[in-house]
Amino acid sequence: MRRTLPAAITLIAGLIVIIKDIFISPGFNQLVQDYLVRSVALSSATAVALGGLSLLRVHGRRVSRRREGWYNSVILIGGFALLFFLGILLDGGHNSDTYQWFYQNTAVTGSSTVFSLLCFYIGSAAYRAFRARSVEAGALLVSATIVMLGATSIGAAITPMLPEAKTWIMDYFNTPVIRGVALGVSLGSFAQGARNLFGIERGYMAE
Amino acid sequence: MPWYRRLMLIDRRILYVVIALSVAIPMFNPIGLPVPSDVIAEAAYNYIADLPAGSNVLYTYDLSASGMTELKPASDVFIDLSFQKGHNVFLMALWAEGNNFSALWADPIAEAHDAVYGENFMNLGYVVSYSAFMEQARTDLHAALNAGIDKYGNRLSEFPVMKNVTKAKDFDAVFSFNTGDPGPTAWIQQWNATEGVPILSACTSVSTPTMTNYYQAGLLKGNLGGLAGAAYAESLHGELGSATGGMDSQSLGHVVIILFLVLGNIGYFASKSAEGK
Amino acid sequence: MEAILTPTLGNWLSALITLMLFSILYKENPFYRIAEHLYVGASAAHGIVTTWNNTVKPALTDMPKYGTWWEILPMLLGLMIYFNFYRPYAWLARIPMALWIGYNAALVLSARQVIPFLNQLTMAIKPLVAMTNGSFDLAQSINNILFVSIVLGVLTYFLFTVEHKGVFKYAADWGRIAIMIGFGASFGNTVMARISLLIGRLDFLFGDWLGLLG
Repeated sequence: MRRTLPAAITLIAGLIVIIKDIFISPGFNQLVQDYLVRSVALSSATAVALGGLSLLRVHGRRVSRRREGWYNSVILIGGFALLFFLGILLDGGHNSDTYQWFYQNTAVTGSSTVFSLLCFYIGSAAYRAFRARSVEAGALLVSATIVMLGATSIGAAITPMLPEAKTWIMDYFNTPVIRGVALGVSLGSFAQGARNLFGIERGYMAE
Repeated sequence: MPWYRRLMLIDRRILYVVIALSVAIPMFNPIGLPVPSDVIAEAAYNYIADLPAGSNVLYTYDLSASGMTELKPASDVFIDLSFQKGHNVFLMALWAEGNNFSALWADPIAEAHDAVYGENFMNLGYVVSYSAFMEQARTDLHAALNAGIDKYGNRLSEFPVMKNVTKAKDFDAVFSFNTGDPGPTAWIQQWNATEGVPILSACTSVSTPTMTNYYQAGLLKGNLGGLAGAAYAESLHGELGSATGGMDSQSLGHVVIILFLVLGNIGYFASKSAEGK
Repeated sequence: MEAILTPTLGNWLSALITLMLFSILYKENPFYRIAEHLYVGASAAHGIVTTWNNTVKPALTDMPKYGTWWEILPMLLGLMIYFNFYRPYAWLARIPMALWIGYNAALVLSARQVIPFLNQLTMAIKPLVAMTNGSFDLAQSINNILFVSIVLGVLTYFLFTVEHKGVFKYAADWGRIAIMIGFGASFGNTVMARISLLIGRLDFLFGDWLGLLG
């Protein structure tokens, strides 16, 4: 029951979509769209709070047990509660000016700043870790340098050959590499999709 | 201590200050370097510019705040271009954060063009399950959009612009401003592969290689790769904005990173050769 | 409330959070942690609030109006995921997962993924002897050979069912070098993205907040 039922649901849901695609019947298609696809959308929507609740559980425990840095968890829960209640209770919800004010100046600011720290870290890594230890690493370094110079205004100012070299590397090295990887990933996902559908892969059933 | 040892032991905070200065100085003293041309960005610009008036163009904000700097200029250019050309502009988001930016960035441009909500443009809001939305929208766009409501909770059927847009195929192009998945890959798989809807993209530089591959494979009609792509689109549009302004900082920032690469390697090889002796 | 929450005050709050987060560059400190936790909490709430307002709430309010009572069932199905928090019945959380996995697995196996795959495959097949305006184009031929050989090299490099010996070894070695050059270009693009992020924040601090930029 615990394993067979989920495996059966996976197979049936998948087969319905496949059958709908193979036998193009407007009536059946409409049924699938109206019920199965809508069910996927609605069930995903009610499940979306899982991550948030899990976060609150972890941080709630940290506060109740007074673990190190518990006051940070109080702030996290406070930030969550503030936006949650403003978004649910205010007229206009997440489109209201008050919600937007808090959201823009906390979440958006935080997210963009934390990502911008990566600029410093990538610079530091370039200095400390990016070494031409082998032919391959040297090739990576040279290619990165040409692309960095060629993609910005300064490269063209040094020599018009740099943007051309950058385009050549992008078109005849980067693109076929990405293409090869993408083809491999697609083949892998076909196999994974089939394994999921037929219940061979049951990783999601792990407790 | 030999010079190469000292070179290797520079405090990381000094590196950080140099990086910050290299990005900040051009903001106060713009150098005005020319923006490099970009054929893939040009293809995107020309594709949208060539769509006749009355075309339905869906701009989708599949992004998080981390993409603001690179994608806002792209959004500014293309939303403005579409209003100039008389397209019906539709906005939506596959990301919750993007739902916010769609209105924040596009509404002021709509206002500048005296566009009327529901007649010339619509905000279709955010959909939580993108695969379900894209599948259902192939035959019934209204039902797929949160059972027929827009971003603000209004019934889609009340707006005249929605009368002729009832399924995926009714869109003449989908333009995704994206910082990752779901983004152009999902649009290509769900709407291009099955319905033949043309897909375009403006991505962060990190995704440029993936989008270049899609473009070369004929899956994308064009792409704006990061700030450089957006800056080139600004120059094509004839309105230089924040992307063009940022290109000087980009240039100097790159020079500093390359300098770090070179100095780091000089220190490494010098210490290696000293150890060898 | 809106009279207090002015754009100027917003800029100050935003600047404060930005500087608190930047303080990590100097060293680990409580200001960074406070700002970090505040934004993580706020971001987590946003996704839930948007989904509630855009999807769940309209569906609930539409039920009496349009008689779509059946939609209660998928909503309850989605709620079953929370059995994850209650160990004795945790297996019930597999049921909504099973639906999503089955549905998405079918999409992967359909034309949606096959057509882009075939497009990419066919566009990787290029003429090794390229002709331009009826005459042999050496440069394009070299580029095409390069392109095709790299795609094959990369595929061989990731082919683990065949031992990399003889011709496979050469192909895989070539694939590895090409991957490094290709990833070098990707690294260059990543640097551009990271610098752009910093430009955005500094532009905010010097422009919107301090008003120092023209």
